Amino acid sequence: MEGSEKRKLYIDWYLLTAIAVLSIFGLIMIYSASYVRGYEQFGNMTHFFDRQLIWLFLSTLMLIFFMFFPYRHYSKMIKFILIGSFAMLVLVLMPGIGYEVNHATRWVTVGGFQIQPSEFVKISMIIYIAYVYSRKQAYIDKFVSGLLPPLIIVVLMFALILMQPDLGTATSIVLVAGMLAFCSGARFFHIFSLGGLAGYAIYHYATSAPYRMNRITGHMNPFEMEADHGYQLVQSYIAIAHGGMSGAGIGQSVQKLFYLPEAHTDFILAIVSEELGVIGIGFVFLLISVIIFRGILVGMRCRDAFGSLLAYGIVFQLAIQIVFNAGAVNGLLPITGIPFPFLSYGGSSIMVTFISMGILINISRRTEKDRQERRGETESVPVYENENRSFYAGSK
Amino acid sequence: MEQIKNTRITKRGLFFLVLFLFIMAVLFSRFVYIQAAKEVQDENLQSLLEERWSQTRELDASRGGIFDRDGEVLAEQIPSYSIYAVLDDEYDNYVADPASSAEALSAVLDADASTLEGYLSRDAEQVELGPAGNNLNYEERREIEELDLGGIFFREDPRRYYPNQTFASHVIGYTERDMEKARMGLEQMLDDELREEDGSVRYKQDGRQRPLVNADQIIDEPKDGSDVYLTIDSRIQMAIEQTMNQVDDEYAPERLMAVVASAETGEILGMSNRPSFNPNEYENIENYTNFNVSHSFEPGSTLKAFTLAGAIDNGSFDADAEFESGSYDILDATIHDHNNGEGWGEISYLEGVQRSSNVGFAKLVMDRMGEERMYDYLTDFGFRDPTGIDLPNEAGGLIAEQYPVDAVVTAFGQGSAVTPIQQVQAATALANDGEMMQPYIVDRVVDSETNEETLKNEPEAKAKPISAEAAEETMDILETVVSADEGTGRPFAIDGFEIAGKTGTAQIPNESGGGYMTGDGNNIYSFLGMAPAKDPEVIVYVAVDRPEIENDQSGNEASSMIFRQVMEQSLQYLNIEPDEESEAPTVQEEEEMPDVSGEDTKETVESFEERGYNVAVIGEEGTAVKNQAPEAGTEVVQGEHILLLTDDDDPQMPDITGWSSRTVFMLGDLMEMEVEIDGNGYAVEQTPEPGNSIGDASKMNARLTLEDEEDDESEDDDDNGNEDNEDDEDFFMD
Repeated sequence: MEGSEKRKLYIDWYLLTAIAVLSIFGLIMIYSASYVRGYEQFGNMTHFFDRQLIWLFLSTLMLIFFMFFPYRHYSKMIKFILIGSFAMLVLVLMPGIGYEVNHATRWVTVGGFQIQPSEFVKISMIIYIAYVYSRKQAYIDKFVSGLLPPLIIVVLMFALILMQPDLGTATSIVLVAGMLAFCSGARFFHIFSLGGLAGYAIYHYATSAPYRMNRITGHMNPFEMEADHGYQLVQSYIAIAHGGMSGAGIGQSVQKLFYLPEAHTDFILAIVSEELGVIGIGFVFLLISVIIFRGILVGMRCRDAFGSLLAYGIVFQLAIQIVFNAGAVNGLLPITGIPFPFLSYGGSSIMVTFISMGILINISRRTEKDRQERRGETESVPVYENENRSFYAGSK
Repeated sequence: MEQIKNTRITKRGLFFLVLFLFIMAVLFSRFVYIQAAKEVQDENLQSLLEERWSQTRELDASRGGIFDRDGEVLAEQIPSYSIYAVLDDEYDNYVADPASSAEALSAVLDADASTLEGYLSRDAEQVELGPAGNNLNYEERREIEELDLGGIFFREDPRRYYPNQTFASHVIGYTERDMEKARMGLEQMLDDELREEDGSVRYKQDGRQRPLVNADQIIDEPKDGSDVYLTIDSRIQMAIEQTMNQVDDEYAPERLMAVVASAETGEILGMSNRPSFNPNEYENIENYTNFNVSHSFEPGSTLKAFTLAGAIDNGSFDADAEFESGSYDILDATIHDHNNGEGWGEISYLEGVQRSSNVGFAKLVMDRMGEERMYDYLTDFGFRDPTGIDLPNEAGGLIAEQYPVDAVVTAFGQGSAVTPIQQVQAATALANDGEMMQPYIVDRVVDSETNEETLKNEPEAKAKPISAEAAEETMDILETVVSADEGTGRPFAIDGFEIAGKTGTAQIPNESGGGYMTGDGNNIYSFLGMAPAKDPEVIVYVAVDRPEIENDQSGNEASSMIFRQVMEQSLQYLNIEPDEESEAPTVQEEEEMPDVSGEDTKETVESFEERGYNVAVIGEEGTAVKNQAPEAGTEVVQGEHILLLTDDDDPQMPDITGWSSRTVFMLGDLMEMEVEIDGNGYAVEQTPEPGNSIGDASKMNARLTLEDEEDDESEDDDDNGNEDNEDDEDFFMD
């Protein structure tokens, strides 16, 4: 960053290229999936495309900002991040502020845009957990003093998101927390006990209300429940089958013509499959795999626990959303209403995804810079003379 | 000092990396599996998507029409409309005020406001308005739409419609209003031809049921049913129906039957029965039988025409030979002539035919012709088998030949049963130089798409039971039945035409076992007539079953009324000119109306009446004619009304009963009065009343009707004297 290294950005080009290609591909697919709906609903074929383009532009600015914003500063803002998250989640539940769609209150309107606070809470919880567990590395195998305290916050956030209700997002947060706890070095026994408990609680919650139970039975027997709970999945299957291996061709989807609900949002992957077949789906999974691979590699290479856990959390969150979304689209998992990162239409989703990618790239830059500097050190510079070293060792 | 980084973090991160890449591979594989197999949970997605995307819309076709020989519509498909009302206030357009809407609708619909309000006040999303709200025509729909009521909508359902109402109803039959099922008559018999084939169009639609723009459509073209043209002539049929209505009213017979056929071709020009029905109201049908083809009964003396023809053909008939009439004992039975067995002494066989002597025919067959010969001829004339006419449910004949006496009674039309259509078929042989024509009623079937004739019936001579000479001689003798002084057919004579024919008065077997019914009118009175006798064009068969008649009335009145009107009009419609050589004296002459004003009233009246005019005098006190109608110089024809206004100071209103509307208007012009007429036909009511002073009245009203056309004072008043002086018409005695 300074001196002779000034011009060097240490960017992981694999990661950035994958993100960029996937996002542009997503924009094209959103246009393809939504122009008919845009025309019918708003008299404008590019209605959804235009909005997504603006969000993508703003998100890119955010990505660039977070790419250069040193991640270690987050540890100084933990309280602010936690209070902010909590406030947003409470605010969205307040009558008159929260914005209700499909019986769920997930949005607040800020300056004309609808923001989904739970999306932002996902990233703030990752930062929080990564921070706490990196600080507790010395006694992470202790249950009460080490592992448990941040999980109480996680459960609180989980409960607040559940009240919207948004079981999918809430579950993804708990899952990421659990995976981070596991990665941070917690004992297997603790992890599996807690995991079992959380699993039971979520299962119990999911099956306790008839409408949530219907999602599960609708997923298991979609053809028998095609009239209601199986409808979306059947339409998704039809889209995938219509495209077949070769795909129907870009723009040629029939299912997007008001058969498949949420064609440009949660079920955009079905449209990708319908129009582009195995090539399209393979392309998406290839890029996603690149991001997961490069992302986890960042975490593995990062030399401080906070950065590692933060990188993991970001990738896990991304991967879990992809699993939940793709699994819902192809019928391996029940429908949870989680968008596909980079592809699904939706401002908050792309914004948070890009912010987290910005943070991930920032960690990668830091790590790469350290690596190169270390390599240089072995040749010329002594390790402990690196000024950055003092930065993250500063807590002693 | 804290640990910088636990090595577990790296290892466990690697674990998740592997795990997630594996999961991604699984997710990807699942997509590929569905893409390739197109099957999930044994459900074939390819066929599912075709089913979900494709929409089939029906393309309606029309049922074929039934037409008369000139293309007049007898049965057709018309649009009809049913009302439904939206009551739910969740819709923008709904019935907001049931009471006022019901009030407004009751003005157009055949239902009172309270009934309609009952429907409109129901607790339902939408309702129909019962029978009154169905089968509306376009005008009614327009009327209701113009009321501009909220929430009232129409559904269009095509329906079958018979524009002439009761009109050859048993021939045409009927198809249910919605055309789902053809139930009767030609509608049913030719259902395969008439029935339409609805088509369909299959196309891909989007999730909102709209056709996709670029997708292929699979169209199964609808096919309208074929049109059927009958040999029926609507004008002749109308004459039958009108006369039958009249006879039905006056004589209330059990049954009426009439068939009009073309003598040369066997085409049926008209056919009807009573009781009949209006096919538009098929719920009220009492009689489903077309007696003309489905009812075989002992025909009575009409059958003598064929016994006679056979005897002539085989040379056993000698017109001048004589026999003792009255009664005849044969084979343990006694045959009586119809005048209580008195007979007419020793008479020629010719006179026996003219007088319809049973004894004469019994002797002719038993003594001269031989019963075998007679049966052979009845067979040749087709009385044993159905004629094969293209109408459903035809009955055959039943020729009695079990006992020897059967031959005797069959000779004069008793004992054996035949149908009207069999007699008409047999009559074509008499009329047509011995060639018996196949009767038929379907002229052609035309494919309404291609206009090709898929069926065309041509006249067909099916047999020649007798020689041309025999036929000619038979016709000559049958002509005398009508024209001779002692002929039983005299009431059936028509001015200007020679008619050949044979009367029949058949006894009716008791339903409860043996013997025949007795009492006035308990017979089937029939007539089989052909005209013109020299070269017959038209055959008319009429039968009246058990008319209600007074003691002094002849049973022939009803049948002759039908025959004469139907035959006369048939000849007119077929443009057959009255016979110049006819004995009928009433040759009408046109002359120019003279100017008679100022002439003596009495003399003028006498002069006109002598020449055969109907004269009405307005102002009977007046001695001189002041004005006249028609005006001088107008062409007038005998029988026309001539109105004379005299110099009477206080002219009175004449009795205009029976006047045509033209004559009534003439009177109005003459009296300078405004005329208001209600109805068609001939006057039955009037204001001012007859005999009342006209005074300053400036307006007259008249109600006209067709029903009492035959009243004494009708225009075609030709003094029925002849017809009333009939011989005793009891043809048969037990």
